[in-house]
Amino acid sequence: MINFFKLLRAVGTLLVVVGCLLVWADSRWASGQAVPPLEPPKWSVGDYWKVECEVYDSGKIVKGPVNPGWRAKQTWLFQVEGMENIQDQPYFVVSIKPQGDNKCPYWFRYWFRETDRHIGRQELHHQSATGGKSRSIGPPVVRKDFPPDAPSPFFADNFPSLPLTTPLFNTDQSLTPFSPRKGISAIYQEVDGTPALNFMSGAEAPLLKKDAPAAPPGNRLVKIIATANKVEQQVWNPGHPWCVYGERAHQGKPSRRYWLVESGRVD
Amino acid sequence: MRTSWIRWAWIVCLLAALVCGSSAAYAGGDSGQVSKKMVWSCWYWPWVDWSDPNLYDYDEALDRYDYLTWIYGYWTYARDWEYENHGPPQNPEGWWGHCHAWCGAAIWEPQPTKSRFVSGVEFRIRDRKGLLVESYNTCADGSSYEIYEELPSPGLFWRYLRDEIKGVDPIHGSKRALIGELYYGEEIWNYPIYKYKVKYTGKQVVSGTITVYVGDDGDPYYADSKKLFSKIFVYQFQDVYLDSSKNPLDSGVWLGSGPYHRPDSIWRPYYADYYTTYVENPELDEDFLFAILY
Repeated sequence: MINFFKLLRAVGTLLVVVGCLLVWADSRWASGQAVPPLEPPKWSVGDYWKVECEVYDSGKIVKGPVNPGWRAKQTWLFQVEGMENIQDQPYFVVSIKPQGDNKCPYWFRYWFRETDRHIGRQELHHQSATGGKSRSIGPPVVRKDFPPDAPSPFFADNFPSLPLTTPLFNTDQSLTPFSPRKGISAIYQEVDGTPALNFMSGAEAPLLKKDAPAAPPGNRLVKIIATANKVEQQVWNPGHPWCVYGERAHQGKPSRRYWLVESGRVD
Repeated sequence: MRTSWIRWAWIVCLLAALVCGSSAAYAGGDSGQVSKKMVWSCWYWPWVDWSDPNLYDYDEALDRYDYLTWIYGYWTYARDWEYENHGPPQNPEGWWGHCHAWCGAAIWEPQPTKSRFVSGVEFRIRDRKGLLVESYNTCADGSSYEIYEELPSPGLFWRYLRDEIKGVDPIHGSKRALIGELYYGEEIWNYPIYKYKVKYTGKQVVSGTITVYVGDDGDPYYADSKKLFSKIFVYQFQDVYLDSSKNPLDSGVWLGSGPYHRPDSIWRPYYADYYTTYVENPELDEDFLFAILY
């Protein structure tokens, strides 16, 4: 008789555990279904936008009384220059140039696939003789291609003040690593339909309206995670050509933040 | 008895052969270097007055610069500014100096290899190096990096060495030296890295050593010399993942302890297309620097 009760209790416990698992799995499935794929921004040739970026400097490179903190804003001008095909697939060609006090002596061109904004090609352009002492530091244009058959969010480690991290749009791949081919680490991407705007304090982000009672409709929070404890969070809105706000943290410490300040069209 | 001894010897030999054979089968290496002409040695031009020479000393680079501008009818105070801002009034510690600025200049600018007379004022090799160093003083202020990784993993460190110094995937399309802040702790010691060697065991997950060769700034004589004086740092690591092309991924851990068991940061500023792009000393002028340095 005792054995029968023990058995009954064991079966009951098992049923409770299985029930909980089913509820959890159902909620995961339901939440997964509730979040549609991220819609790509609407671009056309002639569109431009400006992004400001601040980099956090820990003051660990310079000897002397250097205080850690956010350094001067660097402005970048993005412009959709045209459309080109790579392996029969249409790509937007976007130039990115330093503006104002930005000391970057180079400019860039990126090819974004129309369907999902996968970056298929990049070019670094060495400016020709802007300064009196300019000399050749490499070929005029350095081009790199990325495989179109392995689309991935774009997450670069170099050029920390260039805010170019780009999610992959129109994909439902989540919590599955994208291939590290041509990259330094595997990349994960998460998309949330109802962003909880818990960002760094003190950041300027004129279009984010994070102090408003309700986030602007259509805001999507995108989290791009590299395996080396680097996390980039961005807020995308279909009404804007680029993320309205983004920030990167490395091992939990802030490393950069950026925001959209202007957009328009050049005819 | 004799048979037993021989049997044991055979077993020991067999085990030794197995161990050696297996490690040899999985041993690997990687190395790269840029031309030694692409970096140069210097002196770190300390801020303290008890370690000479200093950039603010009589008859050193900034004093000669002020004399040159005086000949042209200008009164500049580059030497005074240096003393006030990069000198004793700042209560510096002995290790404070210009190593970050030297590194920026040493990886981007050709080494001055001879004296130059400008309007009768001689600028020796050490003066021209000193002015180049001074002209890169704000290159590490945080807003002008093309590479910056704080506390890089062994895999990431190796990857940058491989991409930039070996030239596997360099940012500028050709090999270029990197800068390492190689003191893990409060003090800061930057060096231009021009060569590396990696030895490892394993196939997909590897462990081993990374040796880096850097230009040195630890002796005043280096400022006068055209020779590259080197230092070597050796790091031990384990558990770095390699991709199918044997490129290291951002992974692994450093072994050991103390200030030299791992690099603190790797970085590189943008190239400066003007001599005053990164200048902090407001007395320095593009045209005069151009005449002395270009």
